[in-house]
Amino acid sequence: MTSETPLIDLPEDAMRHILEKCDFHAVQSLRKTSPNLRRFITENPPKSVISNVSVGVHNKTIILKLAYKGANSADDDFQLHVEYQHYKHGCTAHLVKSLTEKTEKVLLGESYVEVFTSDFISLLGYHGGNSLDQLFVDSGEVHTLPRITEKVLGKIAEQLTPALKVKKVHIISSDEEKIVNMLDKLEPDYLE
Amino acid sequence: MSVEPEVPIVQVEEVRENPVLYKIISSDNHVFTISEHAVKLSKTLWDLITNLGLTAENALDNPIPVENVNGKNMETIVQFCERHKYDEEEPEYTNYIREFVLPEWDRQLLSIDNEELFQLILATNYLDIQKLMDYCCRVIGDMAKDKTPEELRIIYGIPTDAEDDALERSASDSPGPSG
Repeated sequence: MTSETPLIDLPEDAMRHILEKCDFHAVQSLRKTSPNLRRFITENPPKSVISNVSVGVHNKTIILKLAYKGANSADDDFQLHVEYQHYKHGCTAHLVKSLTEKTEKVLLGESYVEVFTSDFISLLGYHGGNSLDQLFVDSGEVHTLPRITEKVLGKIAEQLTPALKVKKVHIISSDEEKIVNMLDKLEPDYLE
Repeated sequence: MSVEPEVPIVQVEEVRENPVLYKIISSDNHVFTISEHAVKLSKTLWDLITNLGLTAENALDNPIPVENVNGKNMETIVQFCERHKYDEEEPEYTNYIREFVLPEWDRQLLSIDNEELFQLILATNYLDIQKLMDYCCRVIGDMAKDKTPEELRIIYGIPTDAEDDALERSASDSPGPSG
């Protein structure tokens, strides 16, 4: 199905509505279609639909999972699941669609921590001032090198928007300073 | 001893069968009738009706001209509004639920090509019908699922950078309104 009326000619309000209906991957793909659309998306980030964010570190792998508002709240019902892994001369990002279906992207010369951080910033950028139901962070320090755990937790704390509204927070880590850094960024009145 | 109520109870269905009707004329002079409950879904039309002071008595004698919407789009809009006129108001967040599945009736109504869908969005935007805007945009948004940027360019008619440059060049080469 093609159209003679380009999407970018629609009124801004309609464009915002459409972006709100697109999932995270679709918005990322739309950003790559044209400079005008990229500019529009940057200036009008879609309203957040994210309810749960989970970040886990496990032996040179960072696992990022998201659940959208309105979805079932079951733990295994995340709609976005990406795994960032160290790879020979760069990193790989796996988009896990189901237990048996994964797509892999190799990013040469890139650090998996940096790629994760960049995606995390992008997500929180979309999130804006809206509230999250749950933030779950597992430092994975039992089976991960301390310097990796420290770096990832540091990046997360750095990128959390000041006064982020979260109802429930789970942080698994023995690094009190990092935990305090994260808690500092959360809106205290909003925590349940 | 029970006492019979003195005021007769009006059944909701009876009220529904005798609605106040309004007439709307599209840009290409097609005339449509629409019930009061249905027309209220359009903020623009309802504001117009209120400002014009139309009542149940004079509504049908005073058709409302809508210059920006053609008959084809108006027909879809009237069908949609009549279908959804008794819907309960949904919480705001439902607008953002991506897993929401459009009811089959609405999916059928909006099974039109992209050009028509974009024109319908323009009309819906003008008439300010939130629910229809939500549904149309959902159909457009669903098309983006699992697509690459190249596929999206084709689906949404987005020119590539090179095509964009060529369009700009040809626009600047062509004589302007005065030339």
